[in-house]
Amino acid sequence: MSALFTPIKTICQFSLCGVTLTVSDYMLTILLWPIGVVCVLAALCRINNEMIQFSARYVYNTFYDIFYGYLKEKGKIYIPFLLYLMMFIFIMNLANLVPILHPCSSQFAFSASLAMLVFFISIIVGIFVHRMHFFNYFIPQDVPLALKPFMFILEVISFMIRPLSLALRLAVNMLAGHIMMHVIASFGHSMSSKLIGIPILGILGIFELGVAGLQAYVFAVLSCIYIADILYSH
Amino acid sequence: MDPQVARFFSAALAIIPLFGVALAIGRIFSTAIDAIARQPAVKKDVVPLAIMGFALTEAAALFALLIAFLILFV
Repeated sequence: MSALFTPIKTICQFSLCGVTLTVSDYMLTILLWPIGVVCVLAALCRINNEMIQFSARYVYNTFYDIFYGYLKEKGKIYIPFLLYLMMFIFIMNLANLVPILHPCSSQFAFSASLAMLVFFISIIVGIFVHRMHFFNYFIPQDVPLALKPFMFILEVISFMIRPLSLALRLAVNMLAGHIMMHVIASFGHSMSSKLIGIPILGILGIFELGVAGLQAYVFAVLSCIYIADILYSH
Repeated sequence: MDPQVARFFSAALAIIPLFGVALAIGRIFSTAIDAIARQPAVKKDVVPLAIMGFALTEAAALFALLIAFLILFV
């Protein structure tokens, strides 16, 4: 199993009034890596403010339009949350490419907690907007009465499976990329001539950068579709 | 059969779905290119959909790959 997942190492542990607090490398990466990225961006702002502002505005406008296409006027208050979610996942995916850091987003715990967040938000939005009519979402219209109980069960199962597939997609993508880079890196290291292995690793790193962005985008768009689905279920 | 051989063999069987995924990804992009070639104005709408379909299809391949890894290493 240790060949698959990077184990979480405990760095220090202290107890306070009977509650044991554990500081692990997983936790430190989640806390410190985004702060580090933001610090680098802030430092770049000092050098070339125009460029950073322009690219931030470009990213915001592009993805705002994409999410607006799904959520329309009624759901546009959720767009900042989705943009934040996407940027957070992207930054955490970038940590997978940095050698010393713990690869947080290839841990199932990380993606599962984000997927459960999106799942509960969609339920709360549904109950908040539709009150008790929310449960009509599970009962399809235009279906014979005899079939409705079965359709209800199927709809509930397909609704419950959403966070699982969302979490599994992100974690497995990042895990596969991580394993692939690990294999290529050890292959390049063991060869007598490092001239072939290292360029392949570089190309794979660029590919993984693309996958990191793509998976963050897919996670955000799918959560956007789930929220819009609940919002416009009538 | 030797258990180790059976293990490698089942790991090889587990990644057979990659064949279907390769066909699917080829089809996604070929139809996207076809649509854009017929009507270049729809590029803005088609490309995000194609990328999204690619990511969803690729996830299926990675699930198969994960099963293969689980068979091999766990």
